[in-house]
Amino acid sequence: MKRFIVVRIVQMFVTLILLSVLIFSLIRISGDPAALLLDESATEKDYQLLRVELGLDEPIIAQYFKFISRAAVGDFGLSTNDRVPVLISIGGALPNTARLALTSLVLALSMAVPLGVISAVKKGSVYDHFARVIAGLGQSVPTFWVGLVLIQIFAVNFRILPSSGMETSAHYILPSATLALFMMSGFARLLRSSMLEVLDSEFIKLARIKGVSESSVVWKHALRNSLMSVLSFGGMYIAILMTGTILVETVFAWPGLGRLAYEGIINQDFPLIQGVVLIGGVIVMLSSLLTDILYAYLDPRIRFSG
Amino acid sequence: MLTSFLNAGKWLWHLYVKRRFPLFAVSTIVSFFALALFGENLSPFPPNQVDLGARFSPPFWQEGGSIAHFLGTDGLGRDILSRIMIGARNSCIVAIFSLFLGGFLGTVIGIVSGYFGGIVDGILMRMGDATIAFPIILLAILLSIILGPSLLNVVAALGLVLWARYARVIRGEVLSLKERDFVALARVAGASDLRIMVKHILPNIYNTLLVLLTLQVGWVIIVEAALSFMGAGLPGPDPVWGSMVAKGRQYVTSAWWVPFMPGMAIAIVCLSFNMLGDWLREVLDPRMRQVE
Repeated sequence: MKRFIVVRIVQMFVTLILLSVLIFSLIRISGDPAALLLDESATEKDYQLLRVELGLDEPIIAQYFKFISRAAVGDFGLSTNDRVPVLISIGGALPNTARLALTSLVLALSMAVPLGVISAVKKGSVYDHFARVIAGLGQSVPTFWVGLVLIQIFAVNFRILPSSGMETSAHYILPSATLALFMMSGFARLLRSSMLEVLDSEFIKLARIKGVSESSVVWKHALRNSLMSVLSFGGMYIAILMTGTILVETVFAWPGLGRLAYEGIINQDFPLIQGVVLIGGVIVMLSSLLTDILYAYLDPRIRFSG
Repeated sequence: MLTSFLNAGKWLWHLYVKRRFPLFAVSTIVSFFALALFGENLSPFPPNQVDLGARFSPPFWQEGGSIAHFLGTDGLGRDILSRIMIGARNSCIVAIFSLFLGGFLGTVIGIVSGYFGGIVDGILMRMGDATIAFPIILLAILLSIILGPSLLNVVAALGLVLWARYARVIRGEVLSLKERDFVALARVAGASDLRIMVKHILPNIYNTLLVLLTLQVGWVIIVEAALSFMGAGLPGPDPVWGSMVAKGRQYVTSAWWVPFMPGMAIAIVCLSFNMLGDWLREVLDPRMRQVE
């Protein structure tokens, strides 16, 4: 277990370094970094000052270390659009993103668990087909478009739910439903296939022979083990959740990281985008590290190895 | 002659009824490719033809709609059906290039990783895990803002993420293939590693590759649309499904069909590719039902 965690942490740092090298070299490939960091109103003097400040006359390795040490303390510079430090904008947006992501995650799991379990238990039935169609639709329909359709139905036609912002709890309903629908289909499919596998295994037969009730076999023994396989894909789902959140925030004008990224693209605000990408990447990697540790802790096969 | 016709008929009937051949999905996919190839010859209007007199004309079944503009027009009076038909080409190009890039890299890395094992395998697979656990949209946004939005960036971003999905599955296949007798025999016969990988292992993973490619088309089209929606996709005046939704979103209260129709096109095409992929998986290799 200890060894596993150490390996995962080392791996995370290697990934982080790769990411920072990627971003750094992309900036250099694109030409003059000063041009990316300054807006059109900047004078020649601003350029000179920034070149010295960025140390563009130093060797490339030294430049990289300067870049990385600034990023490590959260110094991403000022947004070229509104001159606010990037870290402050991100700090304000992050809790909103976390709220939306968590609400949707809970909602998605609470829909996916019954859907996946019943679908596996009643394999081949009408219910199974229905559940698979729902899950298939969720994977084929673009998230941002579902958001627009829900706005059209509930905010425009029936006027019962707000379509943008996050002032009241009613504001959570449409964005989190959109995101949950998208997350739910992946969970349900995965849960169905791993439930089928688990229900076929020896320990389930043993539980049945011992006379454990059918509902306890399905909802306790089998589900618990199937959820483990969902958890083992945790890292992938967190990346998907982040992608989905960014899109859903853009549709519903939710003041989070995704909204920030969208504004950054529209305004060609390079420092802001750079900050969002780095911070977003770090958050995803940290959360997938935590998921993996949780998985290792819950699974005795990993907990007791090494 | 007659018997061979009968046999062909029997085979088709068997395919359709017993194997549940996804006719709807395949016809959609064929039309999608036809539109990508001949879109401009088939569309009723040129995609960028502005007609301010016909702004926001609703689809034909709504009051005020006309058969001429079957699915209505947008804020510049451009025919939405024509724009969707022409837009198929962009989705198709992105899908083909990024799947080729990702599939090629993934196959090479998957085979090398599975065949040699050891430290090479460890490093390549950890890189793959890291790629899968990174939100692709952030990478693509970064690429587009630094290098400017272009086809190449979208394809590069998608390909860079896709390879890991292929590599993971193909590596698993290679791990079991390389223990088989025909590989050992080839080695005894003096075949080099390269020859074994290309001539003996590669042909055995074509089925897996085909299923993976089909299942990823839908994903690629959705992500490409999402990037265009965020403003980090393909540039230019030519219609792109994702950007059509993005630009139409401001009219969601007044002219719902402007963002709705292109999104519907994305959904139908993706659903079809996923249905075909699921079907191929069941038919070609029942063991692969676990592959997501």
